[in-house]
Amino acid sequence: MDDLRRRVRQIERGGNQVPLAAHDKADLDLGYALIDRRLGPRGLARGRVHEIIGEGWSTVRDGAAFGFTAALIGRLQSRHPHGHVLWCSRSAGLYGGRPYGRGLAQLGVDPGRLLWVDGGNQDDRLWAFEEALRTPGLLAAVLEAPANQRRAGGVDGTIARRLQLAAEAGASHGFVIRPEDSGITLNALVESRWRVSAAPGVDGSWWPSWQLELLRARSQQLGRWQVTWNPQTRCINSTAALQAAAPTPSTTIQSIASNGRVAA
Amino acid sequence: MAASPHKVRRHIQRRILSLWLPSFGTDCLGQRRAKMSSKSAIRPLATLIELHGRQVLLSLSQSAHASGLTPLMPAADARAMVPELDLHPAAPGAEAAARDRLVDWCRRYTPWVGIDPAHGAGDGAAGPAFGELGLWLDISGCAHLFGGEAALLTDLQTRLSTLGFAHRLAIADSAGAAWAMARFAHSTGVDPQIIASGQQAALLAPLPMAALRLPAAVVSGLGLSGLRRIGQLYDLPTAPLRARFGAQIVRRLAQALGDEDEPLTPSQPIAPHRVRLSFPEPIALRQDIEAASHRLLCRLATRLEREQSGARRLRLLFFGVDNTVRTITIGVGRPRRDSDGLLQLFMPHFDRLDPAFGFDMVIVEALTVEILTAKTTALAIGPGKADDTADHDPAETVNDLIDRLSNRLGRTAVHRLAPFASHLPEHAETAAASTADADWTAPETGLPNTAGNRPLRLLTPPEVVETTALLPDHPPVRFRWRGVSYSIRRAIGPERLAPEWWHRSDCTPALDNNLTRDYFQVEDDTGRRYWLYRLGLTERGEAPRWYLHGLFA
Repeated sequence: MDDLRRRVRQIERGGNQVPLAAHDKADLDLGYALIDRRLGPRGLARGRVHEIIGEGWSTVRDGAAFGFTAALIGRLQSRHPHGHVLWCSRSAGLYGGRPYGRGLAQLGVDPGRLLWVDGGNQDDRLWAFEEALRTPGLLAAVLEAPANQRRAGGVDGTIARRLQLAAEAGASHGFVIRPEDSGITLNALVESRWRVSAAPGVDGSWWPSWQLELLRARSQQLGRWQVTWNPQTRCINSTAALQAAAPTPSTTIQSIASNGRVAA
Repeated sequence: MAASPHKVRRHIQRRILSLWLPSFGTDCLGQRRAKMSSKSAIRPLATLIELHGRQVLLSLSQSAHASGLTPLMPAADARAMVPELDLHPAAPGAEAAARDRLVDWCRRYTPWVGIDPAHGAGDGAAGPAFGELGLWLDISGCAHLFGGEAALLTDLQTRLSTLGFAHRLAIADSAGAAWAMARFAHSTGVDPQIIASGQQAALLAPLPMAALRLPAAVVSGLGLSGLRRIGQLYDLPTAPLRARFGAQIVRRLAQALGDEDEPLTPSQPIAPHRVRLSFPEPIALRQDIEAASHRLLCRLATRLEREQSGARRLRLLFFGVDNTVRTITIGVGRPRRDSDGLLQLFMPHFDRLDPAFGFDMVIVEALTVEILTAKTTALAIGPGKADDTADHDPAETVNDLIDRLSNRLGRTAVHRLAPFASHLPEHAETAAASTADADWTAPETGLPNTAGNRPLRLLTPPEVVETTALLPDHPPVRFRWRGVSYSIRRAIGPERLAPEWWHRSDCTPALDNNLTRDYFQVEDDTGRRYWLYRLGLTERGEAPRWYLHGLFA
């Protein structure tokens, strides 16, 4: 069946133009059946662009969308012992700081296999992202679209189309992180679209927790989940399930202000 | 790598062109003020420097020379002698830039262009300013490209006159002879400019001793002994000469006559490979520039292939008909010699290349060359398979990508994070070259890894927050950051990071490395997580301040 799909896609894209060099790359499941079921046969499809929407950077700043993307990259890296990921970060500075390798390592990402691109203007980073998507040797490419960059609607479609073709050529995963208030939108051309926001974590654990909203998927079955990322197994679990099975607070965690809510 | 020029040197008679620009300083000034009215251009012009508290002349235009002025003459005397003298302060920065441009420009004739160390005013007392300028051009084996030495000389002279530089030059077998003839031949009335191979002895004979590049004291000492012309030294035994006037005079004489080799230092390292293309008509169109570059790169690739090597750094030099040189330098992460791929790396730079009136010569230089194993070659030249193999080798495609990105966005734009042994979070990692390998499993300081959670994004610098804490030692129950208030649901900490006392340094208040920091990871009631720290210890009487240093997922 998969083979058939691939051949159909190959015919659609003009015969044998599609390089199958990256045949060892695979789709990425999240390790959480409830979500994976909605994404397609094997999870997040490779050779596609996925869009991840975080909170607007101009108002509130948090690391949720960044962290979720990094977690996906970590999961991808754990599947492939080799191969790099190119990450076009928005210019470091005012809002949100710079990516921090030790934190990423704690999340389950291998920072040594991340190539960061910064500098240049937005068009440069877009170009770098497209070039990276086109490169079969990369596992994935990530673009952090900047906030407050408005573009004419016509350009968006062209950009999205180009990115889609590039992703197909390279057969790797493309992730675009964009804030809610960003002018760039990839419209209907993205394979999946997520909104990620922070969510209260499981008591006694500091594993990252998010509220995930699936806004677009091939299956048209959308949904919203409270999930927690396990950096050790690199899996996503339901926060509620973890909370139900919540162990007594680990002795290594010193919870000083568990009664902080009193003052609030 | 640089062996090939030496190899060539053994077979070809060395020919040195000595170029002397006696009024370099004023000529530069004249260029800068090109829009100056022609009337004032005739006025004698001189540049001034301050020497030992006095203003003295440094560089003199030709007409100022003709008026009897000399370098290092006090400005007041000069004004008295030539009332219409136009005096300007020397601009060492602009003159150094003009010198570098001129050196670049001379590369159209030969890669081997050196600056005569004996430039400057008089005894070199002028420091960085330039009264005059001397250049060496080693044109061994280059002259035929221009139709012989005479044609080269004419070409050079025409172009220098267009640029507005007064100049004298000579070509000879040795640097010493060329230097002497360029500077002193006109005074004897015999100025052949091109000294045929082996003829230097006869032509040098009537020149004064100063033409041997000797210190003034030695020249005057020789003069007292009645030795005023170089020819007088020919028949003298060298031993007494050496005993009386030092070893330098013997060496300089031998160097001038070509009996002793004189090493010259080129102003820039000689590229191991260099391919040149000149055009009868200047080219300016983008596609012409691309085609020319491609042809050059192909020729370079053939050479590199023969040598089993590849280039790491390449430079394209475009020589404009307006006598300017534009250069594009690219670097690649590993040795390469695929002309098409290299051309792709140059392509984005062509957008910014302004051809003005066109280029009449293009040169490509392989600046750094490394061995390139034959394996890659075998794959690349396979018939019809070149593209496929490139696509199928993942490492190669990634390396190509890094080359493309870093050549367009800047060398530091593509990087990796590398851990650094410091327990201060902001110093615990650095940006490394994109090809470096790092061990992220190692702890931060070489001690057992006891570090607590680290954020995903680090704010640089940390930002001040206003906090409310129940007790001085406790994490805050709420804090205010960028105008928004957050109430804390839970917190973990403190993780105490002591200052690195062995690195006492002055830095921003937020990063005061001389104070202890207590870090807390906090979660607000919507689940956002932040990394806060308290700077300073209350028990030591320091007023603690709170900062936000990072964001968690």
